Amino acid sequence: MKFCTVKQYFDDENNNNVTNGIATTVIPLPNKHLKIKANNKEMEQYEQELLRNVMPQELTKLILAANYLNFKEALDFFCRTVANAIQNKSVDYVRKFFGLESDFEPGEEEKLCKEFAWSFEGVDED
Amino acid sequence: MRICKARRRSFTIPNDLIEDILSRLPVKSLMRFKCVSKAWHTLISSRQFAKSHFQRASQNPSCMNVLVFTDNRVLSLGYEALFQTSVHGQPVDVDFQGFPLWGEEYVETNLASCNGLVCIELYNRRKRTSEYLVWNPSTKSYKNIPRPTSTPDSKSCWFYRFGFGYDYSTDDHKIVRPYQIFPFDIKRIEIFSLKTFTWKTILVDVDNIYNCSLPLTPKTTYCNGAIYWSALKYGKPSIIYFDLAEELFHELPWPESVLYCVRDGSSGKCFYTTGLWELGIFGEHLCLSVCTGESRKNLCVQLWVMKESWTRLATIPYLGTCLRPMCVSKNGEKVLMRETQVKCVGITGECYYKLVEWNLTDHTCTSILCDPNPRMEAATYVESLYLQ
Repeated sequence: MKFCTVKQYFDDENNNNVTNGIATTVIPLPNKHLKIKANNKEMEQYEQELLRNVMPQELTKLILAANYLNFKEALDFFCRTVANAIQNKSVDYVRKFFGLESDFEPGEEEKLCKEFAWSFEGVDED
Repeated sequence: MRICKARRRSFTIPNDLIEDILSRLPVKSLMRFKCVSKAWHTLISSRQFAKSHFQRASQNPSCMNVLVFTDNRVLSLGYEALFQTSVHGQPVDVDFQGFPLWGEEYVETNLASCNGLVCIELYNRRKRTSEYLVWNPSTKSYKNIPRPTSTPDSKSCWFYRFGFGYDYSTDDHKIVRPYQIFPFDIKRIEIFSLKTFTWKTILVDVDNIYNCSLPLTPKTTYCNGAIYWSALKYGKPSIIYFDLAEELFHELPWPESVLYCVRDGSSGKCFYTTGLWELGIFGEHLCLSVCTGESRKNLCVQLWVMKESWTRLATIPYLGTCLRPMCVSKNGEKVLMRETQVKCVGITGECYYKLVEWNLTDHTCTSILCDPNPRMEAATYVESLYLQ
């Protein structure tokens, strides 16, 4: 791994939460990944564990860390985890997750929701 | 354009990563998330995103679905329903509001699919005319295709089986209809571009292979930018294909070692298996399924795939039916096939279709859906955002 990049990241960011996040999650990943690379089931279990222990919003920080470190496997893993986490969620949940606000005109959003009403069926409760 | 804004001075996921995350989502989620914001609506509706989403989905065998038209119902079977080890899942009834389904006896429905879209041909047997529709079962959107303006009178020409394919060079889905005008024996091909939404006709070059071959096929196959027809060239089975980017016909010879003529042991006569072969798909490759053998009593079905050259994939028992490979399970062990059985009624034969699954390792065959049915059409499709 690129240790100089890691050091730079620690020096740049003052936020302790991020540093902790990296230390506990991202750094051990290469070893974990190598160990369980061949076994998809184990990777799935690890993914479930990660989802339970880490708040969804934390995933954002992990993604940024992995992106900065150019750590492709971790990035792929985290993106996949986020996708699985939001797949069956409501529009409001997704907005909160990414820190977005609706910028539609008042009638526009209702129109869209009606047009794609079938896609709202079976969505998880917030 | 920022597609992710943070409320506090915290962390923002860059646009390209948001796109990465979204490109992994199923179409149903994406259609819903069009309501998240204007930027997300624009992104999800964009052609470029549809392309990258499709590229990812096509690499994932779990995104493969099978569409079945039978008994006035339209059913969809997902990957789990097809290749689950224990019980096969139930097909889902597809809601098809305001869509002119075949209902009349004299209308024949034919399907062709490629890259996430399904092309439906409604052939009116009385008038000998065809109407086309292009449908995306994932987004539930469809488009009626206008009639070609320059089609000659159906009495003076013969249309061969239509094909539907994707042109990589122009990022375009196309419908092709080769035809022949009697008595001049000139072959032409009509091409519809979904992008320009217009038809055009190309005259086939006299020296071109297509003029020497007679397309036989009850169904065309799309594979990697070309459309394939089974053909007969000077009495021998052959394969002709139309490259959508070049707009030219080429010939693909049969695997050399496959016998298409099987000797009848007792009479010494030749039994041609030219009626007992089909082209299909195995993974991303063209697959030839052919009934062959040393003698008439010793027949089997061989599956060959076209990679750099023809490679024999498997040999399975011949059960008196013709098999068209449609899709394969993740581990390559199970193949879904459309089985055609010809039942003789007096002097005519009628075709009955069924979906079956062959296990290539233990040579077992399971019926997936339907009792043999003369009006069953099936096509595979991958979830996509083309046509929303």
